[in-house]
Amino acid sequence: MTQEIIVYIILAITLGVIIYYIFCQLTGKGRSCPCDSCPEHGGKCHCHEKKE
Amino acid sequence: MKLSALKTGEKGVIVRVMGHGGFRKRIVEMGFIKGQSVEVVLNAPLHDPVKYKLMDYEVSLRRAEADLVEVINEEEAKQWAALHPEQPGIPADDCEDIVHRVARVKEHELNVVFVGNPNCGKTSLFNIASGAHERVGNYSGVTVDAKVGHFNFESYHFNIVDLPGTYSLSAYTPEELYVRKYIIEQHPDLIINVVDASNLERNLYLTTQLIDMDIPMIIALNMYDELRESGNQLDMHQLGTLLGAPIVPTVGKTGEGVKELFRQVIQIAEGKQKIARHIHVNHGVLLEDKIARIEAFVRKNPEPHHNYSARFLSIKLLENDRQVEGIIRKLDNAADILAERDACQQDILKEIDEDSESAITDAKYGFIQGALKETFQKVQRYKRLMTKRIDSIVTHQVWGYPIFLLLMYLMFFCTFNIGQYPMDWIDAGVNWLGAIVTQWMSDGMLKDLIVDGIISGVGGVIVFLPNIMILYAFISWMEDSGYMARAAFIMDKIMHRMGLHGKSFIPMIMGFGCNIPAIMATRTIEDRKSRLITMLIVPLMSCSARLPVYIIIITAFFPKNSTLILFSMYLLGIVFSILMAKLFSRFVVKGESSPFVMELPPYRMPSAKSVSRHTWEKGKQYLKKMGTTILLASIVVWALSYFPHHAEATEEQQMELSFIGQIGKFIEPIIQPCGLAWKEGVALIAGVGAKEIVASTMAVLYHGDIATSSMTSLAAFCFMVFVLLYFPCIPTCISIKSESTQWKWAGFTILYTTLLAWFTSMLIYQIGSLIP
Repeated sequence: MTQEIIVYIILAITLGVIIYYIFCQLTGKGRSCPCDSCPEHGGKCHCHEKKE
Repeated sequence: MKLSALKTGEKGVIVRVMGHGGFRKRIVEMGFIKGQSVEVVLNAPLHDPVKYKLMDYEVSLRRAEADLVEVINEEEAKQWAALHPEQPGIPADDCEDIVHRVARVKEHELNVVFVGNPNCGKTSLFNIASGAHERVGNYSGVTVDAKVGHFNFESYHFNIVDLPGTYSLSAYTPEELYVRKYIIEQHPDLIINVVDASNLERNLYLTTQLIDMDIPMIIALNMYDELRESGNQLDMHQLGTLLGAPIVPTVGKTGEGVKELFRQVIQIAEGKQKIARHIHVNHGVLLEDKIARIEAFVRKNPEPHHNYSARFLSIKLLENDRQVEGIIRKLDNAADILAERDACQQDILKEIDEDSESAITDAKYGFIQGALKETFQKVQRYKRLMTKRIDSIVTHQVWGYPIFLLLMYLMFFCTFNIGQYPMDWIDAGVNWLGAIVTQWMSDGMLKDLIVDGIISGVGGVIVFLPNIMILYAFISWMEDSGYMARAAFIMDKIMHRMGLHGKSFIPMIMGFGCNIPAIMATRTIEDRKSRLITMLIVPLMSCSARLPVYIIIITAFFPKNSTLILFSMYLLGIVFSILMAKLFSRFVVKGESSPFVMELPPYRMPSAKSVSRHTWEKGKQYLKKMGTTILLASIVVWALSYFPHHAEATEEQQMELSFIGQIGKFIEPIIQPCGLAWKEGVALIAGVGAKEIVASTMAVLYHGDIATSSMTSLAAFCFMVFVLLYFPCIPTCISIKSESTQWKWAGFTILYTTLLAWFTSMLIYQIGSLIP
């Protein structure tokens, strides 16, 4: 029974991480700044300013 | 923050003043100097101009002018002090004082950019200075975007930026425009112009253009060891005096001269360097007269030369620079300026029978040759002689291709055969861990998850770490030695026939490592048609993530012909990419391809440090992926194969009755003509996120032993072909979108690769099945 509870907790965390990852990809939150490789912004954009 | 961002009544302290020539001089003379307090008194009704108070008098500035003054206000100073508690002497509570103190610290901050020709060693110097580990290689176009680094040196804080290599500051290629735009918009305090000591004349052409831009500059004479070894003599002090920029010899490989370089940067920033001054490159009487005529018209407008030097704009206008024309067209007297430019161009054509653009280029080269005649003594060209000898073999009309194929074969032989030993050790370790957990844990769901999910999944992929590192060591060696540029050179003719550019071959070979940087590297290709087609075919190159899948299959089904089968996979990727390029250039992407103008750098012996660093970086990335993506995917695949759980069923029955079994059975009819069963189908779907997941999924579904699969050798080969060609991983699709700026090209790549994979595997399987 204890093993089952631990597995369900692991699965819930896994699902949470995947949903959070998809959410980040869709909203840009937590994602590495797209301007790092963007010639238009030269590595300077709102994400960098916030970080700085 | 910019002075223009201060609100009415707000105070700030000036940190630095940007801008050019006359404007900068005037604004500094008015009292806008570092450390001076300034207060916003009022805004005009339309918010322009703004009245400021400084030194007990009031002065009004336009917002465009105030944009070029950097200040720090109380709020920003407090935030900065909180973020930098290690900075001595900055009390976080003393508000009046803190702004001045932080401003004083920030005055000791220097923004420096590295600019230079491709493959002159900018990134090596950047890495040494900042302690970063950015990718370097002995061919042009390794850096495709701006990399930022920070470090402290002799009481100064340096923000350094490594820009992509460029041969000039014209407006022809994306890198040229990008570098120019970056310099103009980001207002660096100083430019470090990195010059390849073994190729002075061509490298100094960019230097003359940077001189026109009128930004403080220092020259890093990189690869100085090669100049020293060659016996050639250069009077650096004299050349620096002629160019108005001090020259510091550096060696990017060892870091020699880097400290002195930044010492000189500080000297220039503090105004103590006497050689550093603005000079005018003399273009000759005729051109100088025309430049002065246009400049007189440009100077009637105060706006543009806050950012640009008026001389730079005038020269660029004579060169028919479209971007500069766009800036000029916004001015009130644009028509007069352009009419004067046209008249000057006509005069030049009449007098010397040459267009103004060529005349300026010739004049710049004339200036360089004159300067080098005074300062440079050529003795011998030892390195180039060696390069010539090697090139006569490796780029030979007949031997070039076999040598290229032989090197590739050797690479895959070592990847498979040498990698086999450490692979077996890691495999034994994984098996030992599985056995320990099986022995010590009581039966249950958690034990199944750990043994069949995590250890089988992650362990099934982690064993390929040595193979991936060996492959990367080879790629790094080929890149650093200069052979990669030769591979592109010998492939140029084939690529041209397929409607591509010789340079396209470099991103394709980079794709053997990872498709994402390869797609980013397409930026170095000038014409859009070749760039787009290269982007579309790069996913067909076998990236290192596909290597674990090949090794799993080859070890189980083709142990006797391992190298040959592995080599054939990579070769198949190249052949398909070339064929698809031909199709795309004829039917999908229209346009003319530009001529091949790729530099062949001299051969250099790759340093063990550089190769091992690249290899380790790749290994680290791979291990990181094991702990994140592969771990999550293994847990998900295990859960889908475990639920709904039937305690009384056998392992195989459980698998078929599980969610994953139901999904697999649903798609099985689609992949059956390719000889594949439902387990392979599930692995292919899972591999959409990252190709390594195909291997980890197979490991979970077959409990780590793929030899138990019912696949025939033919079907196993078809499975590898499917993995090679189908759906690029999601990060690759995102890269295609961001580089092509359109989702339709990412969508197109997904569609065509998947259809190509299905048809090719189906044909191989069906035709192969006919052979007894």
